[in-house]
Amino acid sequence: MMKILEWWLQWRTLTRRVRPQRLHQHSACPDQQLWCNSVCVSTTAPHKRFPVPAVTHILKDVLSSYLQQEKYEVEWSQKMTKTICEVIRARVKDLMIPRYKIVVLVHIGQQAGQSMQMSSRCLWDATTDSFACYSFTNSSLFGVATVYGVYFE
Amino acid sequence: MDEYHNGNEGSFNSEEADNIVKECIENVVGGEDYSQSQVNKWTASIVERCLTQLVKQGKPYKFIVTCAVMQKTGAGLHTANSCYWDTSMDGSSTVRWENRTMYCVVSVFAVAIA
Repeated sequence: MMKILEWWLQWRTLTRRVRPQRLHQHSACPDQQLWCNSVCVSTTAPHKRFPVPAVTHILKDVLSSYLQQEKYEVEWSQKMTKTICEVIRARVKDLMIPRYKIVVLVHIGQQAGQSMQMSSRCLWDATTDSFACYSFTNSSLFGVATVYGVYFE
Repeated sequence: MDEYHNGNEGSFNSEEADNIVKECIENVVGGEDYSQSQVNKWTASIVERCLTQLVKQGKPYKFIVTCAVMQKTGAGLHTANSCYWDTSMDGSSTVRWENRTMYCVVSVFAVAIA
């Protein structure tokens, strides 16, 4: 009887399916759970990505509040471009997006029937880096704000 | 045959970037009059050329290149930028160019990798 039991146990051990066991959690990527014999491809993926909708909302809010009822004047526009730039940078910083470098670009111009074109190109990692853009116009002036978020690996 | 250089570590050289950008602008719109049908092609061409030349330096940077071309009608334009980055490694360069019929403002931002 004992021998039969012994054989049965040996047979069971040999034929039991081996499943991968969850041995540990990779410290570099706490959101991912690794199985043994697997490789974590990206140990430097951002914990929180650049929040394009939130930043666009900030741009819309700042441009609208500063430019809504204003008329274009040379000195005022010069100061306002710098002020708006600083305000946007401060508010985007307050979003506390870890390991992201921020570049803010603001243009303010007079509406005088002229034609204008703006373009930009970036050499970056499209999986981590992104940008947000918003433009505002009234009868006297236009304002364009762009924020680029670049992940520091 | 184009040459690619193995760039040295260090901060961003904005003078060298200025020269590269000026050359790219001259090559694309130098001698042209403002044309609404062509301006889209010009701005795209300027940014692509600048990016290609900057990459050839072989430095470990991510680049952002922006270009604004505006027709000259007497209207005013103001541009400002503000950056939250590592001032020892990262840098920027802005070039203002004009001819009889248009203004061109190109900004290059270089953000160090690691």
